[in-house]
Amino acid sequence: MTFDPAIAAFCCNWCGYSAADQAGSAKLEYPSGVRIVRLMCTGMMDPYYVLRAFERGYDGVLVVGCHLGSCHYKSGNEQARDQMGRVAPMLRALGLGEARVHLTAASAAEGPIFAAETNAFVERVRRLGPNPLREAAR
Amino acid sequence: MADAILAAREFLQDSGIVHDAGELRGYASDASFLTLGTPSLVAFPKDEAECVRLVEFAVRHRMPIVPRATGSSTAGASVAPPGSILVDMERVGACDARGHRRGLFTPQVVDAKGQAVDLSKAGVADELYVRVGAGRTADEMNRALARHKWVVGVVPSSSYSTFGGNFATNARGNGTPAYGAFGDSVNRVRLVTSSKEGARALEVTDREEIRRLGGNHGLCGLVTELDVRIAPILRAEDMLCVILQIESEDPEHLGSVIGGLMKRVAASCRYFAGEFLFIDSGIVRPTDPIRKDAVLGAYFEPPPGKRRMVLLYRGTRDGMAALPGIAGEFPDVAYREITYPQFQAMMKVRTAATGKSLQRVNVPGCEDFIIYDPARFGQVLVRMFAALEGAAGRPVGHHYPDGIVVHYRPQAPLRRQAIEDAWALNLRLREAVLREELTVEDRKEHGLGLALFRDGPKSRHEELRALKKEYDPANVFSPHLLDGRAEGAFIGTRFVF
Amino acid sequence: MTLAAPLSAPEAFPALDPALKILTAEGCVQCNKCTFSCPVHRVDVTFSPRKVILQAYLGGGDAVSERDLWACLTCGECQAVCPTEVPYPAFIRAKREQLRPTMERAAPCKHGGFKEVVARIMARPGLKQDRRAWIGDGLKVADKGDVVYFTGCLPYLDGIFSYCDSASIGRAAIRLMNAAGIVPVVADAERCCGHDSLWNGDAETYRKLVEANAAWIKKTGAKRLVTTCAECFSMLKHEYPKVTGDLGVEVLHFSELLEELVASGKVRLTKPVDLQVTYQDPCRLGRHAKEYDAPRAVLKAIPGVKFVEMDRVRENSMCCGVGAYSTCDAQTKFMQQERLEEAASKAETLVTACPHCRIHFSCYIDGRPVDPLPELKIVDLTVLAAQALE
Repeated sequence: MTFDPAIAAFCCNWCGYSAADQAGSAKLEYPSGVRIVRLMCTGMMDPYYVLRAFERGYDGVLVVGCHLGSCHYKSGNEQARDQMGRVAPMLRALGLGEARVHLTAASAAEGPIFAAETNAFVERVRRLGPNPLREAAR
Repeated sequence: MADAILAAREFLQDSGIVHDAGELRGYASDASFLTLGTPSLVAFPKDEAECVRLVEFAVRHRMPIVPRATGSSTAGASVAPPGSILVDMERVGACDARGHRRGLFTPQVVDAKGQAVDLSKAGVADELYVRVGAGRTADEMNRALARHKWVVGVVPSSSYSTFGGNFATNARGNGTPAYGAFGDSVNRVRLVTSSKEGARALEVTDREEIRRLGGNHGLCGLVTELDVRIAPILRAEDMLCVILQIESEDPEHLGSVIGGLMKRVAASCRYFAGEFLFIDSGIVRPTDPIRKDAVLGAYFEPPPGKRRMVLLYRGTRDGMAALPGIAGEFPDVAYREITYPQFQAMMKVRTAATGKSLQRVNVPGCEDFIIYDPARFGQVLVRMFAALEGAAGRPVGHHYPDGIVVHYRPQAPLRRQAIEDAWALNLRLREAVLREELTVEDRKEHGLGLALFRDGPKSRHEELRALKKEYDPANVFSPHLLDGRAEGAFIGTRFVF
Repeated sequence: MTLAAPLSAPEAFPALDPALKILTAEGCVQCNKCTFSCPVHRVDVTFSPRKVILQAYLGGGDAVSERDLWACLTCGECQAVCPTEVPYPAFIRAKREQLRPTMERAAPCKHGGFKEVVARIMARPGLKQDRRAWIGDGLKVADKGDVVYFTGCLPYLDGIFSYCDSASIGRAAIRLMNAAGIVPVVADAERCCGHDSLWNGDAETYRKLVEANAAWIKKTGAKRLVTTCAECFSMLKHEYPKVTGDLGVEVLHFSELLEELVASGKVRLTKPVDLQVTYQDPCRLGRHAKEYDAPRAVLKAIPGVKFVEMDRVRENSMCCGVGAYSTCDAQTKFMQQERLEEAASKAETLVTACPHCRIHFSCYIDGRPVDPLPELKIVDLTVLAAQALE
């Protein structure tokens, strides 16, 4: 049985979001269950956003930022990497699993990379199954 | 008037003085539960300089100032009429450089001449003072002095009240038998007063003048600093604490026995504190741990139908050497030595008894009537209990060397009628008890305030008007207290449920 | 002649809201003693418990401002000095519960409310946690046994407060228990104890957590439950029975168990730990649960430790500055400076018995103290004791 995962995709304004935009205008397909949230920088990512997304019933959280070394604010993406590293044990403990969160990079011109990463992540989440909290709420 | 308040707010903002504006319901009253309306501006100066700027502004713009500290007084003198600036003095001399009021501090100790003294090297007979900001409280000071085993000389039972407030009300309390009323125990006072043009910062070191100023209820200026007498904590081997108990169905008998004892004690003993209270079955909660105390528990089970009075003394063994013998001559009186912690535990019950209430307010009542001749105590008690028939609240009092002081405050539920009934009870009580032939006088040391001023002796009015003329020619400090027109309402009329 | 009997509770005012009933049942006399002992008042003079109570009396239900509602630490210093024992923290708790639905934002946690989210997630049924991964190797835990180790937030705290290594507290506790021959139960079914939910007015989440925890605790058949957290301890021992009745286990703070193990010789603390230390009584262990002695007994049993008391200890202990993760604001830094200055004047090491005190103090030191502060290390009691294990 398949289901369409609901994904919260936090994309940074300078790279990730522009890449998503480019993918859209080039008509590169990525699943409709992907909700894009624009941040100025992935450095803003906080474990709270990830947890809140799962509490609201999202099945996966994708974070798309600039490539390392290219962050518009110098080192925001490094901070994101640290934050996501810290949230992984929490997700493991909660029984959600760290595989439901993925941090990646796609620059403004890399529309195709954005689409590919997104599709791959959606597939991964589809194989993991729905968010167990979603099941529990029902 | 709104313009004046607006100008005052701007001034406070520009001068950086911490303040609060708006509908300040929390400041509508003090422990008197009297109110003149809800004030709209309160300022929290932190030192003398800010007080000077405040007073200058008030004089120039003819805005009245009402000083206030913790508002624990029952007199109603820290209640502000609309259009005035309420000045909360709790921060004065109690803040650090950044303006935060800190609870921890090192007390500055001086001798009678104002020279700095090292308290750890002081002798127990030295006459020492702490130089302290008016915003400090006896609680805080005692905590700071504890490690050196010293305490504040005169501590009113509201030990959380500030020294500025104690001076303004000329408070008496624990230690008064030895050190007098608060005004007697102060060696130096700094205050910010007015002149026709602006503010004056004055320093007063003449003891007689200081006594004159004590008890002025903020009419003369903002007190910013005081040198307050401190006393050594007696060592256990030097200190004697005693509890005496008497019970009887007949209050006259009870009173005349205790009065007789007190007369003898006043003549032959020196002590720091002599405090009494009447104990009934409801004075502490059923679950209060004091009921289970091996020594004190028994005092809280009075037999039904009898009134029980407990009298506590604290002093030096030398000074009270005659006490056991005196007590022995009164067969109805039970005498027992207790420890200082036990004394403190009973004092705590006594303090709570003056204010403890289940959803009730304390209406200002007979705070300070003094019975000069203790032999009359029995007659006073008969009249008192007759007037109090069925009322709640418990009388407590002090045995001072010059007489017996009794406190009683009627308690009322939070309804207008009940509060008016309580006030009527107060008047009946005063009628019954304040009589010359009983050697009873209304001391009025808890002071003036709104409703009580009307009944105060004319001589006191004269004294205060003279002080005001001298210190506050611009008449900015609480002018409403002396013009006799301000009628306070009980705040109970404003309660909304 | 009769004396009046004590007056009974207010039947005359049926319209009183529950929070106000708490206040008026006791009878505030407006003496201001509460305000004087309040640590928040010392640094923010416009914050006054007395004033809040008077405004509540005068204005009825909605008269508590948002600032007054959330600045209170619920530390209980006011209640400890009140002559009529007005239960001010309980009043604030009830008010938060009452006013929460009307507030735009829930408890203003400065970490975005992550702890609240975690608690809400844990209130969901059917959650399948893995609560042992943080334990690591070399330590023994079990699924069934006589002693349950209630770990609280330990699996989650380091995700946010990475500079604290709070998990080391749990590891030290298990190590000490193993040394005494105890293999504690650490259950995947465990949930957040609900402390923050209760104190921040989220009654629904609290109730769900209590029910979930009570269910699995009863199923273990254990006789004792021990925790290294003062908040979990006060919840499980004093608050849970109000909702679920007797849990059927003896609830202990780890310091109480350790005191027992040392006194009976089951744990031998022999390696000297040469430190001069002072001790912070946590509000939830001290004033709320009245346990002052067991941690002190443990400190005295550790060889090489020189223990110096601060001036304000036991029922006078000053709060670490943050209550239930919802009160941290501008005034917090100044309170923490005051308390840490006091600690640093006694020793170079401050020992705590609650992981949250440790986090809050460490956060302050790790950030930027507002005034110079001497070198001070914040160490958990259990970790310190484990250092003395051979």
